[in-house]
Amino acid sequence: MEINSETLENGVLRVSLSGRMDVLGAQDIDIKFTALTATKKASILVDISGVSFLASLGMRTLISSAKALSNRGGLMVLYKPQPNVAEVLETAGVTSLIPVYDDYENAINALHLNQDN
Amino acid sequence: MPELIAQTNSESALAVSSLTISNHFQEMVQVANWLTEFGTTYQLSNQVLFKLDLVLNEALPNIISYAYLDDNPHQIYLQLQNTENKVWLEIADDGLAFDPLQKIPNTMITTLEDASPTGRGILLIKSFTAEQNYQYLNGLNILRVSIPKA
Repeated sequence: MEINSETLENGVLRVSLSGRMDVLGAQDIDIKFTALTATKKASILVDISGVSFLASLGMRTLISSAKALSNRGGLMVLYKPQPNVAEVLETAGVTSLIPVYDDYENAINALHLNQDN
Repeated sequence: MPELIAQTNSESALAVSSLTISNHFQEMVQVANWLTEFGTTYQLSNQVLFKLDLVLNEALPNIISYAYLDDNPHQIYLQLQNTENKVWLEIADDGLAFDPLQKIPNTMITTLEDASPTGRGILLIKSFTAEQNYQYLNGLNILRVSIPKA
C-alpha cells in the first residue's frame, strides 16, 4: 500500500491511501497512518478512492485511529470509497462510526464544522 | 486436501482447484495469485472475485492468528469449485475446533467511543456469501461458503 499526506486550507490534513488494504497492506501503512492521524487533535480527510480492496484488518487501522483522534477532539472522515469498498464499510457498520463522503465539499464542510466546535 | 466438497456437493463441478498454504501471513500473496489465476481461467466476474477475496482475507488471518496453541508449522487447505451457477470455497485447518458461524457479531454499537476496532470478519463472511456451513471432521475445521455468479 501507499500512503501520502498533505495539509489543505484551514488546516485539514488529507491522507491518501492506495492499494489493497488487506492484512499485508494494513501492516504496510499502519504505523505511518497512526502517527499521522491519531497523535494530536486534527481534522483529517482520509482519501480512500485509491483503495481497491478492504478487509477487517484494514478497518481496524481506520477505526483505531479514528477513535484515538476523536478522544482528542478531532474528526476523521473517509472520502470516496470505490463501490466494493463502500459496500464492505456499510455492511461492517463502519459508516455509522466514521462519516463517509463521496462529495469533497461536504467532507470538508463536516471537518470545518468540527473545527468550529 | 480432504475431499469434502465431493462428499457434500451434488452440483456438477466445472473445475476444482486446490492450494495448501502454511500458517503465515506472507502466504496471503500466494492465495491472491491463486485466486486471480482461478478467476482468469474461468472468467469469473470482478464481483465474485471480490467476495471470494474478502472471505479468504477474513477467514485466513483469523486462523493464522488464533487457531493454534503451538508454534509448530501447520497446513491450511483451500479449495475452489466452479459450478454452473456458483463458486464454492472451502477452507480447512487443523487448529482448535471453532465454529465461526456460531459467533454473534457485535455490530449494534454505533458510536465510535464504544466500538471495537475488530470483530467484523464473521459478519462480512455471512453477508457476502449465499450459503455457509461448518463441520469439524477428522481433526479439521472445515468452512464452506458459496457465492452465486449472477
